[in-house]
Amino acid sequence: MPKPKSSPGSVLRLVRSDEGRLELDEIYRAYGRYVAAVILRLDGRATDVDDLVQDVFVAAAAGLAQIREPEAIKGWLATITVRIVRRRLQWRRLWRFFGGDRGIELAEPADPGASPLDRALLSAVYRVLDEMPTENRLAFSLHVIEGEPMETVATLCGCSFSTAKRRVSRAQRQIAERFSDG
Amino acid sequence: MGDEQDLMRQIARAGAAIKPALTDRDIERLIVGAAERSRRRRARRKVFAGTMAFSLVIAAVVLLHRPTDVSPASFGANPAGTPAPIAVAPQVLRLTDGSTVVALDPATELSIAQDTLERMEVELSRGRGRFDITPRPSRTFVVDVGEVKISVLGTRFTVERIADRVGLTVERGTVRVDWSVGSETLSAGQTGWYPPLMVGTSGGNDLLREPPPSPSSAPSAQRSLASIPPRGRSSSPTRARTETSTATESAEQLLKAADNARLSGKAEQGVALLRKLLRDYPGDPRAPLAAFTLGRMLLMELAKPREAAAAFAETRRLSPMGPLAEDALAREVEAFSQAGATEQAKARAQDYLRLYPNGRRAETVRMVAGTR
Repeated sequence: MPKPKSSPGSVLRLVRSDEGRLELDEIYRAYGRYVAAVILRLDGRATDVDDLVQDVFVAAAAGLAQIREPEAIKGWLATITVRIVRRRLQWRRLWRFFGGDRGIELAEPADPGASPLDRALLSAVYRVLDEMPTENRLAFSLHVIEGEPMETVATLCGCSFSTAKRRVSRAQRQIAERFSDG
Repeated sequence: MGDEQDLMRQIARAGAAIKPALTDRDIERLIVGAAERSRRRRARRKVFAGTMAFSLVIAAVVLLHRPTDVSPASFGANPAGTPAPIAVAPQVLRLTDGSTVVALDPATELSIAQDTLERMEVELSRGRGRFDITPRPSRTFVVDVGEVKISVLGTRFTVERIADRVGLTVERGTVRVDWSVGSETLSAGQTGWYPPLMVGTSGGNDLLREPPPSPSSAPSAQRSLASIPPRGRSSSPTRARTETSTATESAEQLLKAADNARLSGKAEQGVALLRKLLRDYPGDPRAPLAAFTLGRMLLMELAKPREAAAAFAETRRLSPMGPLAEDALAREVEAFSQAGATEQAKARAQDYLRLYPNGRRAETVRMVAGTR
């Protein structure tokens, strides 16, 4: 795939005197889709993806200088992404508490041929997730929807392994109860 | 426990399909946007108070001096890369690609969300506009109206936004409408309101009965799943199951088969399979999902609104407090409305407003109920 041309305005560079220049643009090109996918799966709303991706990029620019190992970049971006999404979800819950946030555009599979079953299922799941405590929601989304192992979930959520497991379990139970209620 | 694990597997599978459709250019746009945002944040920290005051003054000046006509230059992407809200009524807007937009009422508000060689995106925040798009195959033209997106190549159409509903009338060409959980193509002469209101009625047991036979009706659900190819693949005799598998079809298999049938363009067959699931496994946790999906297929793919209403009612009967109940009731209103059953639509609309006075579809349902 040909590398996209960088526009003159797209300069977000970081200079590291001891290891040469680390170009943020290149990092964002490499991980932009990954960040966007994590955001969409955690947040469930296509309308907010652009905004949140840019928030992550901006936040990452301040911290990537401390990254010593290139392999750590993806994890670092994931940590920032979870933090940014958490803040957005908490704000939304607060906003909803005061009667706002009634319009929802739920996540939709990229494949336009995705089945109505999947669409309806995701719509229902994100509706339940919207009602759930943010920490439980994040742990569940990371583990079940994003497919991260429990150890990674604990790291990204900043909690212990057992806490992460407990949060995922609570979220699963809540979803299962809502899907099987009478 | 097994059911819960099945459900989680199903969620994981559906979740894996969630992927943002970002092109290389989108990524570049986000990088530029992030750089710009970063720069703005730094500047904002320095002169926050002054900037706020200045912005208020600028906004007041812009509002007081709205142009009566907007030149092509002013409609290009602005240097900051952010959409600039433009109150347009009652002028004619001429876009940089030669397309025009006529604001059809004084409250119409439009803004350019994106203007690149590949894509022009116009956001209609409120009101009504008539779009005359210059054919340009290399460029996608998108009208963004809340949760509804209208994509065109070269055509003429009118878009109207009322609360959370978007009305579309196509005069020439073809447009594609996308909303959060579906999409549809409209051709010249066609009209539609989006997102389609979903709505339902009572009499859920009717759902379990097969519809009257007709020349085009679906094959019976009793038929083997053999003829249904797996998703994304064409039918192959070597992959077919045998007739004897019918007896052991689980709810999960039926759901998958219905899915495959729909993706293979065999909506009638998918409907038959979902009916079979509801008849054979009414207590399965997936039954409400199956009923809801059945309703959507009947309403949106097979144009059978009365049967769709019954399916949505069945969804609510199976899981009255479930996560699909609210949408099912709204869809039921829509289905009755489409079927011309005004009284039933109103009755269901009143049910919706009683149960979900602040629901997502309350405004639209209120219109159907005639209470606004």
